[in-house]
Amino acid sequence: MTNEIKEDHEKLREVLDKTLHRFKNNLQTQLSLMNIQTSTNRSYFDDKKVIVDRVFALTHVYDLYYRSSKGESLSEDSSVSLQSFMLQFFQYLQTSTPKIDFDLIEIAEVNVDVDNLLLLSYILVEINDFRKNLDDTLTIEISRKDNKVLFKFSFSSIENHENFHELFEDQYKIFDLMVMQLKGKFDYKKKFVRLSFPIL
Amino acid sequence: MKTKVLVVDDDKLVSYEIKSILDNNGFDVDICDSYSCCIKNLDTFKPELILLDIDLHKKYEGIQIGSYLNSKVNIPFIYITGYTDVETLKRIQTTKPVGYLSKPFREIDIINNIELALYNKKASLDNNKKSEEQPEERKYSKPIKRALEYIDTNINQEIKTDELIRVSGWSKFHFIREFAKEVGMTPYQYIFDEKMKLASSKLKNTYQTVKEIAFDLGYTTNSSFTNAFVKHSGLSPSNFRKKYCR
Repeated sequence: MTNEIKEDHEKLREVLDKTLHRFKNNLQTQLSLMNIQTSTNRSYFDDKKVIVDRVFALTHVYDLYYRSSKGESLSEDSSVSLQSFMLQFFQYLQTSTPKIDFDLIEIAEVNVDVDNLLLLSYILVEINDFRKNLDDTLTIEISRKDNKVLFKFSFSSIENHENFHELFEDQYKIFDLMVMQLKGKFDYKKKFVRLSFPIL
Repeated sequence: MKTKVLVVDDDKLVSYEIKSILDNNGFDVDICDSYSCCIKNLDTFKPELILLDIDLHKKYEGIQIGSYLNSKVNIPFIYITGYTDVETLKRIQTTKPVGYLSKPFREIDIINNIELALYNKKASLDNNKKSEEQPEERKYSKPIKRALEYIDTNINQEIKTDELIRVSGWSKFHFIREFAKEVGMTPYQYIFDEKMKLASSKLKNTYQTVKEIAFDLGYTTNSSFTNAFVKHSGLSPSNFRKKYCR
C-alpha cells in the first residue's frame, strides 16, 4: 500500500469513527428528550408527530452531511449548510401543514455544526407543536448578524409576544435546555420572539 | 442518607436526563460541565460516585478528570461515551474507571452500573477493614513508608534526598541503604521512575503541552525533562505522544 493510500485509509477510518460517535450522541439526545418530556410533564399536542419530526430532522441532517462530504476530500469539519437544511426541513414540515411561513435571509454562506443544527430543528419542532396547540399560523425568519444566527418566530393569534414565556411556562423546560445547549438566548419582543445563538 | 452522585457532562440534555433518573431513584445529584467545576465539587459536594463524559468540550477533557481522580482521590467513576473503538477503550483503561456506560443508554443501564460500582466500592472497603484487623507482615518499615508517602504527595515538585532523610528520621547512610533494601532501588531511581510514569500517563491521556508537564513534575527547563524522558523511554515526549495517542 502506498503512503498516500494508507493516509487516505486512516483518514477515512477517523472520519467514520467520528461520525459513528456523533450519531450515537444524536440518538442519545433523542432518548434524553423523550425522558425529559416524561420527567417534566411536557404534554405535546401530538406526541407521535413530535418524535417522527425529530427522526426526520436527524435523517435530513445526515443526508446533507453525507452529500456535502462526498464530493470533497475528507474533512474533519462537521458543519452543514443552514440554508440547505432549512429549505429541506421546512418543505418536509409543510407537507403536513400549510400553516408555516418562512423566510431565509442571506444565510447561503452560513454553515452550522451538525449537533447545533439538530438542536435548532428540535426547537423548531417544539415551536410547531405550540402552533398546533394554538391552532395558529407560524411565521419564521432566519438571518445572520455578525457571528450569530437570528431565529425569529411569531404566531398570528398572539398580539404581544412579550408574554410568550408565560403562555407556555409549564411546557418550557425542554425548550430552555436546548437553548442553553446552543449557548443561545431568547428576546421577547411585541411582534416576535427571537432566538440568537453563536456560530463558528 | 442519600448516595451522592456527581454528573460531569457538557451536554445539558443528557446531564438533565441523568439527574432526573437518579433523583427518581433516590440519589442526591449535582451536575458539572467542566474540569474546574468537577474538581471544585469534589470538596464542596463530596460525591461518592462520579459519572463522567469522556469527550467533555470535544477535547477528551473527561479523561483528564479520570486521570486526576485515579491518581489523587479515591472516588469511583464511570465513563459515559459514544466511543466504542479499541483505541479509546485502551486509553481510558489507564485511568481505571469502575464502569463504562455506552451511548445511547437506558435508565436501567445507568442504575445497574451505579449499583454495581457502589457494591464493589463497599466490598473493597470491607476487605480493607478485614486486612487492617488481621495485619499482614508489613512490606515497608515506618520510616520508609513515610518517605514513600512524602514522594507521592510531592511528586510535582523537586524532591531532595535531604528532605526524605529528614522525614524518615534516620541517618543519611542508613536511610539510603534501607531504602534500596526495602524498595529495590535507590531513592533517586524511585523518584525518577514515578515522575516518568506520571509523565507517560499525562502525555497519553491529557492535552497538556510538554512544557506544562515538565513544569508540573518539578522540572525547571523543558530540555532537562526531555533528556530525562528520553533516558527513561527511549523516545522524546512529543514522539511518545505521537506513538501512543491517536
